[in-house]
Amino acid sequence: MPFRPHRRQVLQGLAAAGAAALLPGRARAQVAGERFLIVVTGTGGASIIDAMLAIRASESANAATLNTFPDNQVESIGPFRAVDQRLRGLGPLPYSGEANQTDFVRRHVDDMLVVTHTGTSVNHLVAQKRALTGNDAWAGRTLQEIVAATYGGRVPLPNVNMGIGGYVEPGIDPALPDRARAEPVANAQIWALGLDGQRGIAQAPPRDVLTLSRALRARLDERSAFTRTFGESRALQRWLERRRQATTLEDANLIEKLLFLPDTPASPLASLGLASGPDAERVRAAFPLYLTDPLEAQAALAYLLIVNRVSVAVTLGPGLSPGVGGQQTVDSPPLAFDFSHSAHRGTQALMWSRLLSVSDRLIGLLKAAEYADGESFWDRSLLYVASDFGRSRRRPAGATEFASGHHLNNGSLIVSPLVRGGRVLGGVDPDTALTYGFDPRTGEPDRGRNMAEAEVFAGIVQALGVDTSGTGLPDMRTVVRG
Amino acid sequence: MRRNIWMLLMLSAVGCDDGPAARPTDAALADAALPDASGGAGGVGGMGGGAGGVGGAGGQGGDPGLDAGPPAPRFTARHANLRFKSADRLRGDLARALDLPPDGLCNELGQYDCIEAIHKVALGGVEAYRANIYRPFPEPSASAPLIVERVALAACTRRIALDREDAASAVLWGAVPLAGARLADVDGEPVTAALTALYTRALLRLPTAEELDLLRQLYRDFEGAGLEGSPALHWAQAACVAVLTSTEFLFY
Amino acid sequence: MVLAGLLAAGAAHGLPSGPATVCATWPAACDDGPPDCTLCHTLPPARNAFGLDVEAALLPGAPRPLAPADFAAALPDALAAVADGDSDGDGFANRAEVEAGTRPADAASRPGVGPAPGCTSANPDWDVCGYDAPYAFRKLHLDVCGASPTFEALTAFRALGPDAQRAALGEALDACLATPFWQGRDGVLWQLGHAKIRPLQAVKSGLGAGPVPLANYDDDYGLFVWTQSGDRDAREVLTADYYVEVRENPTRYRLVTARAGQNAGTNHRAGMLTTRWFAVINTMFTPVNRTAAAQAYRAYLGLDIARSEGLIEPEAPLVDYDDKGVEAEACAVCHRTLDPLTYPFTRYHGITGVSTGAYDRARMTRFGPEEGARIREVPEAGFIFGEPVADLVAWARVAADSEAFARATVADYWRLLVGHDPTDAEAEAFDGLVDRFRGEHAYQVERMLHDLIALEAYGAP
Repeated sequence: MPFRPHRRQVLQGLAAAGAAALLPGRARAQVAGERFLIVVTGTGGASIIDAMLAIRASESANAATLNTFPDNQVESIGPFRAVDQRLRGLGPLPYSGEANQTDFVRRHVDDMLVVTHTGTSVNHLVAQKRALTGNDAWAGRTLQEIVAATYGGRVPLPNVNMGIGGYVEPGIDPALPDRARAEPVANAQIWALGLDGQRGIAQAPPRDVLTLSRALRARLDERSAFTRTFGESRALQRWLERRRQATTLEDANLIEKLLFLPDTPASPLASLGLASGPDAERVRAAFPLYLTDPLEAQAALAYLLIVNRVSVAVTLGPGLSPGVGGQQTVDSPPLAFDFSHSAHRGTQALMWSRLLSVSDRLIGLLKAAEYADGESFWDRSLLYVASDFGRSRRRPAGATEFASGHHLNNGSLIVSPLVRGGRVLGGVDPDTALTYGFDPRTGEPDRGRNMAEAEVFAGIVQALGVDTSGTGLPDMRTVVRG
Repeated sequence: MRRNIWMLLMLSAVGCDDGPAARPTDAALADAALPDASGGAGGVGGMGGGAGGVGGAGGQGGDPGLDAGPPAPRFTARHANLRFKSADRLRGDLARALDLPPDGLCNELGQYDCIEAIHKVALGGVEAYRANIYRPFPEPSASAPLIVERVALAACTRRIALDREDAASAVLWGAVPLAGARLADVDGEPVTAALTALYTRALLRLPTAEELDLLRQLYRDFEGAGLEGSPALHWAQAACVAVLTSTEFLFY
Repeated sequence: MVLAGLLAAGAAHGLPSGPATVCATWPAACDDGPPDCTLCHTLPPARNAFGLDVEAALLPGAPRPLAPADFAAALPDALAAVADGDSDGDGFANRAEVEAGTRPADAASRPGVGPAPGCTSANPDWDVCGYDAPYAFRKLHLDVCGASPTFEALTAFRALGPDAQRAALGEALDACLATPFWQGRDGVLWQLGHAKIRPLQAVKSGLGAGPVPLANYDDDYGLFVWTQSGDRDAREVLTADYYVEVRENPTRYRLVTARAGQNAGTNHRAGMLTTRWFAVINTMFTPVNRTAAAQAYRAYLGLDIARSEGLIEPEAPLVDYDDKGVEAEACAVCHRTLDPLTYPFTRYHGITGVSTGAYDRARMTRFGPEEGARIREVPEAGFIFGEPVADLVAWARVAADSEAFARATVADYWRLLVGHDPTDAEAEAFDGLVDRFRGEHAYQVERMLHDLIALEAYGAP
């Protein structure tokens, strides 16, 4: 039968397909109980005793040789500690500036929960992945995959991951729906350009030309001996399914909604027929260093992904490259938190400050964005600061800067209205600087117990309202607000 | 439990006027397998493409029971172990097919290499040095089909522009007068030669008569659709993109 | 470890009735013995997709943990309930997979496509009954050269007879193996090296140095590519006492006996395990550098201790030299293998300025008691595969000559060219290839590749 596409039919067909499948955009119907997970990665090892569980020197019998702080540097805000420092270098690297934790803690104390734990690996990549899978606690799925599989059925890209290393590795559950697997993003500034097959390409023809080209391609594929010979290929089948779904990304105009660059000579959007989305100015104002600091660009994109109902799980975090060319010679150290091998105190202070500052601004934006009926997006979100592991506790006697290694013992920061906030679950022994655990049902501290990766994992999953019955995950109800 | 490949193809063929009826039936496949229907009309066809085969084998052929008589001839691949070309091979094969430098295929915002700088991981590549991504993701990302189209569209547009600038050294479209708004004769030899070159360079085979018909019909549709701009130019872009984003080009 | 313990929660762990019940319910599943823990688990007690399905079908609603008797009584019905399901979504039912000896929670593990006796191909374009040489010709160009052949080259190839096609395939492979796409910077071999070398631009020195230049991993890529190409013995990746210099435009490699910044003395070199970069990225500042040993075991022998692979305990007591608590039973399961595996690595410095990566017999004496009460007693001698070794050079020799090394090396290229781990149906072909790699191929990767592309797994559509 000859191929006679009628343009109107093509366009109607595409529109119908888009309407029937995925419904991106703020007006789309909500999924019951919808939740959003934001993973902020403490790449390299974010040490909890350098932040919310910081120890005052006067509290420890071994203050001089353990990682403790002068009393006057440590503030108590609710059950949490916060350390503000004036930095004058990062070991061998030049850096000068304030590292601040108190602003964040004061602002979010009621939504903050610190959960202690002891991991099972001090290998960066292995530990990073275990921070997200609870050491394969649920068929090897990552937290983001679980949230995407649970709440992502009606959003176009449920799980977007801007992380690196083990934080971006997929889980290993073969039964996970394809759509719940992570969409990797290497460059948050301009990644959105890949969400349209034609717009923004110089001398691109009108949209209808691509539409007709696709229809012809489908016909050629269908008729080809190649497809009929290799049609049983799973890779081919998955590609065709993805190809079918991909047009919904265009229908939702995600290329513009998620593009936040201004129209400048360096990013000549208008001359390429593009414009950034309606929220672009707001995120640029919130994250003004988006051009030079990839973490700020990631945060900007994370916000747009959530409020445009594109994703229900987003992952962002510092990479391993140093931040240069922004406000001073070195804006952030290479290796992120792992530069603690060279300069522990300064690195932890600066990196915590960076993570908290970006998280604070992201939370602020989400609080100001209405989800529905007066509820904000933040009301349905959980931000988890995932860390590879902790850092070693010892320091040369009295040293104010020193090197640290990897250590299994640590704790994680969770910020969310969905958790029973304003609490530390577990605690820290000031004489060893090691954290100890708690009763998972009551939350009572238990100095004889260390919490496992799977328990932190289960607490997050349960706080997000995911049904974990039959999974074998422990009951971590003490984490959940309610 | 296996998904129906035809259903997926039909879903992606929205707008085709024969709609779901386009699913090849066993009988249709059997008809298509006849030697004289193997797409050789017009002196093209040849190896591959459109030859069809004995349908109904459907992966079942070759396993006769004890008293089943001679085995049914088999058409489908037993292993069907296809792989997506992924970032590096896609870049190399597009560059080869269009005779363009790999870094001249596509640039986002006119400055960032589409594959190498922006979309490499999404297309199954790695980013070892800065992001610790040492192995490719198991599957191309959800946006990969669109990225492939962007790259192909940019590369095809570049090839067309070069061929128009210098017909004497043209690779694909030199004999086709794309400069005018319309083609003088879509059934003429220059168009056949261009499409044949596109197929042999991209898919390593000659186009079948049916494929040529479909591609020519596309031009007539452009003429009739009243699209803004030159139908001849748009047709060349659309034909090029269709072939270079076909599953036959993208998988091996 | 028994199946029952892995299927059930809590008190049901370790029940002896599970394997028998599986075997009684699905007899064909036990032709080669009862299934192991990975049938239902990722890392015990966490369950995999199949284990979760079984768990869900096991007395739904009954309080956990199940009593042993309840578990044993309910398991047959639970297995029956999941028999026709497809936990890994690979198109094959769970029972069919278990009976075929494949893993029902792993989509890459599937009952294979067997040979097709009496098959006749009705496909005019591909030989769908057997090895299709033009199909392989095109594939190898993409796999190894990075782009398809030309239409003219493929047409000429098709015109050849079977013997000539075989020869032409070999010639094409040789030509592609010499291309930058295969062995140049960022080529296929470099990319194969990524997971072994684990580069990090921020701390790279040399060409394209990062802001904190600690070591030049180009040396590691150079050595890796060198050992995987030409007529070289791939075992030298672990045993080389030389270095390889990388030059550019085009990328080329040159064997040298010394390199600036490489500090391991000739007698103490063990290929990729004693480069400066290996010390920087794996040992860093750690006295007992378990990460280095675990990475060597994983990258070159295919054994991931984090996944309980390759746990072979030596006949020696486990000592907690660095006060890490490794003697606790939950830790000792792995550390009884890992720690003796690590001791030979401890004599090589981590990041220590001019001595980075250098061999130092007295290295452990340079650490104080804050690193562990017995830190200075860490021996240099250790064990690999239960075999005692005096130092890292001996360690590397045993590793390089092991079957695990050959299997890991061949598996790297199998994944690269075939696209997946060897399936159960391909196991025999894979095993044969490993045997030939150790024998007639003399551990030369390129000879092995000529063999690989002639296999049905590569060339049959």
